[in-house]
Amino acid sequence: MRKMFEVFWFVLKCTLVGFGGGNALMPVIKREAVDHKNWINEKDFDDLVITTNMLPGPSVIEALAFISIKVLGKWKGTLVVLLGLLPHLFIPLTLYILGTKFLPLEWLFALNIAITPVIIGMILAFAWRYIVKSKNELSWPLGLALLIFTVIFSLFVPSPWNISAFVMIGVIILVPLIGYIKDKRASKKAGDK
Amino acid sequence: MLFLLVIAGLIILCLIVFGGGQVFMPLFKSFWELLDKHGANLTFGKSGQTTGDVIDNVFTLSNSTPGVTSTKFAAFTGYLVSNGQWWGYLAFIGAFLVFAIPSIVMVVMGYKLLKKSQKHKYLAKISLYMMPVIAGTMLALAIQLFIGTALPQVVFNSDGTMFGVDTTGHKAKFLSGWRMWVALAYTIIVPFEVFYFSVKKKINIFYLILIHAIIGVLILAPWAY
Repeated sequence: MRKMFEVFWFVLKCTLVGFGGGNALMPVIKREAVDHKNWINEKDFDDLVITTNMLPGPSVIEALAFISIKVLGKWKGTLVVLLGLLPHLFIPLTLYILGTKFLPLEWLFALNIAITPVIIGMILAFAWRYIVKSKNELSWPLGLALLIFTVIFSLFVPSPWNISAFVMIGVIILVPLIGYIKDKRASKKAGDK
Repeated sequence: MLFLLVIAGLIILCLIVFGGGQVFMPLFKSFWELLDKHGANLTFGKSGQTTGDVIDNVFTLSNSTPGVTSTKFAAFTGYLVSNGQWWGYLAFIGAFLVFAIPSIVMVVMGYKLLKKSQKHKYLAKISLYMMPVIAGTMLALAIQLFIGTALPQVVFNSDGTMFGVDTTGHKAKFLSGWRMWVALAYTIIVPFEVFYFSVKKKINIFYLILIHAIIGVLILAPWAY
């Protein structure tokens, strides 16, 4: 029961600070679920980020639901994440019904501008971690090329075709293919000798 | 009939759309217009309001409040088709469930598939090569958020425009004059400061957000607009 409330509170907090949408919330989720609560380890979280980016549908719900299910099990986890996601939806509904007399739009804009730079800082820290990781595990020209390619792709390919899932699909096709061809060549060379 | 259209539409949207809220917007717009043609009355019969006004209003409110934007659009669908009757709130929650549950099922299955693939000889290394891709995605997102936050008059790669200027938006008007410079300075300084306090000092991110929410609103003074 205590655990259920903890997960509910985690989901609620993440949605209430979630300006920027989609991937922007991943650093906040990581900070809480990986670093503070130890609900999921880093490797599994990285795989979760890849999965949610490859899958259609809202990636924040997917990430929060996965962690909730990992902690609480299939049924309880689904129930808790759905309950935790519900309250924040009522904020825009309330404003829609009451009109913006009670909370003028300017206040919402100001709040948006106040919080988004914090999210940007978290995103930069998050990106930095992945840069260090790829520097350690890949040859740096390849890692850098992939990084720059992804940035340019995400920024300049006309939206909505600029989603990173396309780059990821490219990686999924090319990496095994190149690995296979390299192996074939190596075995051929060995055969020649 | 309308009921089936709502459910089918929400499931299809959940299954075909990748990425964040911005990508969903044109699709929800067409979806709502379709529902309006098939008997839903989005304006609830209020005079002086068009379907377009309702859609703009929902977009502005959903985009400027925190949380999962696409899910807010989905939940609003249930409310908008209720014609102002009491069950609108139930339909709001129902539409949210219809939209959220398929993605929960998908992530559980998708993750299993990824884990299974990592046991395969040639697929095992894929995750490694995804690291720079994730880093690149996040860097691009930081740049997009920076432009959207500090420079709302700049249109960058949206709605078919690669680069443009639009000063007529409500947010752009709010950020004209001195507020533009304050917002620009704030949006440049805060990410570095957060990087320091959050990564080096390990201060709880939720406290950092709360403090900045107060500071940011104070310096932008929306009551004086």
